[in-house]
Amino acid sequence: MNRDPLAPFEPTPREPFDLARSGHLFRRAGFGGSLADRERAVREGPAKTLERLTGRGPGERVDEFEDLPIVKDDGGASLRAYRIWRMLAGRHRLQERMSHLLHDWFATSLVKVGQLGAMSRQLRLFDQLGLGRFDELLLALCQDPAMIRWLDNDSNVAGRPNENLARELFELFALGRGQGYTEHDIQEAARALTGWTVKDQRFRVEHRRHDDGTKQILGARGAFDGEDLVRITAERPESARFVARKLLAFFVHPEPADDEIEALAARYRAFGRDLGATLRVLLTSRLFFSERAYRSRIKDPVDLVVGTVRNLGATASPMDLGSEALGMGLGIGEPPSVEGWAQERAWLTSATWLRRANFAGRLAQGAFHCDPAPRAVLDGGTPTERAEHAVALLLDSRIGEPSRARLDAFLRTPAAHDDAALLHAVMLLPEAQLL
Amino acid sequence: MPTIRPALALACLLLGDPGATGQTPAPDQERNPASPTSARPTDLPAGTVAWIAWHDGARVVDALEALTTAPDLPARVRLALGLARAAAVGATGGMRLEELAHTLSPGRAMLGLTIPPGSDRPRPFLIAEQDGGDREGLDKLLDRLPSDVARVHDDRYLVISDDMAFANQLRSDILPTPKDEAGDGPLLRGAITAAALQRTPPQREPGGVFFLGPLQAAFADAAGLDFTLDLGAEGIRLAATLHGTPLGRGALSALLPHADQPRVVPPRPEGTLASLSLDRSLAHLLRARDDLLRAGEAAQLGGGLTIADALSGGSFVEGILAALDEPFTLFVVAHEPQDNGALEPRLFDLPGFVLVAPLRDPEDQRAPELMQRAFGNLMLADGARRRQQELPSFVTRKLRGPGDVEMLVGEPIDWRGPEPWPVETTISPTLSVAFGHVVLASTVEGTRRALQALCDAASEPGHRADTVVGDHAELDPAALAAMLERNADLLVFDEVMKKGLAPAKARRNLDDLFGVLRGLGPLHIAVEPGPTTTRMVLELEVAR
Repeated sequence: MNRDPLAPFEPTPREPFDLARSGHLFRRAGFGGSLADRERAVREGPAKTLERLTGRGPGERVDEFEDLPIVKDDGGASLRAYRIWRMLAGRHRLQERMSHLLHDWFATSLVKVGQLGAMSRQLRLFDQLGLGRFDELLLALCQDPAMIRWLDNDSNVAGRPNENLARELFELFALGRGQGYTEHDIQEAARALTGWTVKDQRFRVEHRRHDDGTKQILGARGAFDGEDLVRITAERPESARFVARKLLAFFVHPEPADDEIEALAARYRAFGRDLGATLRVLLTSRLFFSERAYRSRIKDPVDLVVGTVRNLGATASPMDLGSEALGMGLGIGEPPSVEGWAQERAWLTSATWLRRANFAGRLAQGAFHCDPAPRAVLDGGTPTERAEHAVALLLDSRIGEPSRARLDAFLRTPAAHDDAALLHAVMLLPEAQLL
Repeated sequence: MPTIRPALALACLLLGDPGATGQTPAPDQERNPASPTSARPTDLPAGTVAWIAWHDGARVVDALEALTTAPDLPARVRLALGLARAAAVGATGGMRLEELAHTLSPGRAMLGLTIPPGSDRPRPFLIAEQDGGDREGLDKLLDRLPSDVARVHDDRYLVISDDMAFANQLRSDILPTPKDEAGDGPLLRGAITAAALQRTPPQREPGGVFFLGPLQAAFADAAGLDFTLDLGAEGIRLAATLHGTPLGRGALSALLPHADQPRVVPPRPEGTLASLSLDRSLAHLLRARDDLLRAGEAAQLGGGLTIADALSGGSFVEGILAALDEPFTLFVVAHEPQDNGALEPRLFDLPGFVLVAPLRDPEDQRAPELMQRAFGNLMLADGARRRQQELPSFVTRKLRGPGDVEMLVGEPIDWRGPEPWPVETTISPTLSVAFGHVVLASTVEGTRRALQALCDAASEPGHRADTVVGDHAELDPAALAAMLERNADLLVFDEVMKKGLAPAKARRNLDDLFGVLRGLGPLHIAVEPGPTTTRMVLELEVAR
């Protein structure tokens, strides 16, 4: 038997590529999808489906508003709405997922950056480079005006280095806390980044403020600048493991095993640090479709609001959904700290649970400009038949015994004849909170 | 009045209503809404609070057809109207609208609302004369009505309501009124009784009192309101007479400083999309706030006035507002895209909002000084806040405008971002006092245009200023469409983000809206108080 955790998943009668696995692929790699899309995926198989979720033709525009700057002074509501709209309506599902991960990974907040245009451009940078080479992405982020403002590199000048960007580059962006670097490395890395600043909202190198002396960084010695720093950092083996862990935790399981990390890091190195190529291996692997991965994560608020609408095969107001996600604790453009959002169980508190339940109830009633109205998507038939349809739409036709018992109990009440109440009941099952 | 009067006179000629010329109707011409009106088939049932009557259903259909086939209507809108007609045909078992009108109300008809004694629920009803109607067709039509719709019909009358007992009672109570020769009269005639007018809740918040307070005072003991509606290929005209007046109504009357007397309105700046001229005393509202407003809102307003006093260094109400004469006229002036040279294009072509008010004493020096101080301090305070939040800020400077008059301008700093200018940089708050007027505008361009119009009027020998009575609003839909079209990308974006529409669909919807707006001529709304009645007119021409 092949012991490589990243060996390709081959459907068998015992482990078919069924509605559950198709739903898993759509949730993890594409914010969910309509039942028709998921059923088509079952017919076409995982490789073809992933191709659909990934592809954008050469020269194809990202979206209709690609050239329209989002600089409306509305507290970030338009920016949140635009990002949600891309997740809802965009054709490039995997790219959107990757951008969502990167916004948490390289968490930058509008609250400090202050300029909506700069924040918007950082998020577009994720769209453009998120499935490309990691070292190119890292360099672009070190030169990104929002990041420079966020981590104070505009005050990092020769003779008075500011270590914020250098520290986070090692600790949070590329190597991981305590992974192969020292405080001295951070100080030297900060020197390499001196003079990288922002002028008229564009990246600029102020050479007279750059420290062009010799530095020793991660064992290498030279008159390094920021580009050298990024190259040296990205080439480190710790960086490959760090990137592999990030991808595994987001796409597969929140606590990846060491052998899984090593296997993915090896692929990543072999692909020349190409994130897209690495992901394609991961998302078609036995590991990805394993029982260990299925519903192993808790949906963050964006997964919940976007995924539910997409699974219903509907559209809804991006402005409203962005606002709902904000109310549940995830304000796009406003992560709470440089470490991003606390994930998994941290999403579920008594307050956010109430908000999630109310969201489900209102959506089922047709709020948020949801079109078609959710109650209209259930086929006719008995309450039991409609409940099965709702479980297929929202929960891969797969729920556990406790949930089955709860649903059966609901079906014995008069409310079961109300499609909105029925959908709400299904959306409140524990499985609906799992990714 | 050169601008408004010709439109009224034209409408008067077209629609045949002598009252439209603005002349006070002779006493015997005034209509009492409680008295029988010959267009309707019967006296009013007890408890009727509002009704609309017509004397030929087919004529109503013809008029609608004429309006909806205006040549400039977008194809999609015409298609939608066609589909609606087709749906009506389907719902009536193949009956065309004209046939439907003939079958349902071949003669006089009345649609009304009653509130039965002891009830609070309005009850709708329809009474239609059946003389000469298609009895067989009517039976077929009535068969298609939902079973819970109560209907009573015989050779003479059809009565429809939501309650069978009520419909029967209506039929038995019908007292036929004599027929008139109303063929050339208004298309629709209607009335709202005093009882219904008095049900409108009182306005107590500042905006409601300022805009609607006087009208509501007139409602309070008006004898009723009657109206006529005419529509056709030329446009729509809704004319109403309220049999009551806001004059002599205590504190609220003082909100109308010129009462029923004509007053001069400032000349229209070039590129005006819309204007609103209000004969309303803001100073009186603020002085009498404890009597006119809710306690909490009056207190909040008082707090705001304290800040306004501090900003102006004097009394905002007595030093500034009391120095201004009414009317206050707001002009919405289109922004004309200009070649900004090296500057990047603006993100949004926001129109200028220009408020113009005459000074009571053109020689007054003190009030302009207080205004300029308040303006400068406001710019300074707002600039500090915006800089703190790293938003584009404004710098105050003096510029020269038409007639070499001084303008105090809050100019946006040059935008150097990679994107086009954000929305706030399309604003340049401006204050100017010249030609006996105060001009306060959201853009320097708007101020320049208002000053140019005032300057031209002042320098024109024998210039006759326009005068109006009461409140007037005008809108140029085609110009508005042109302005909106320049911002179409942003409007599409907003629609998509707010409603989740596909971008192509949002753009189609907007194109339809622009098409409808382009197909419309000027809209004019007037509310004119008189000694015993209040006259209200809405006129909308269709572009030809």
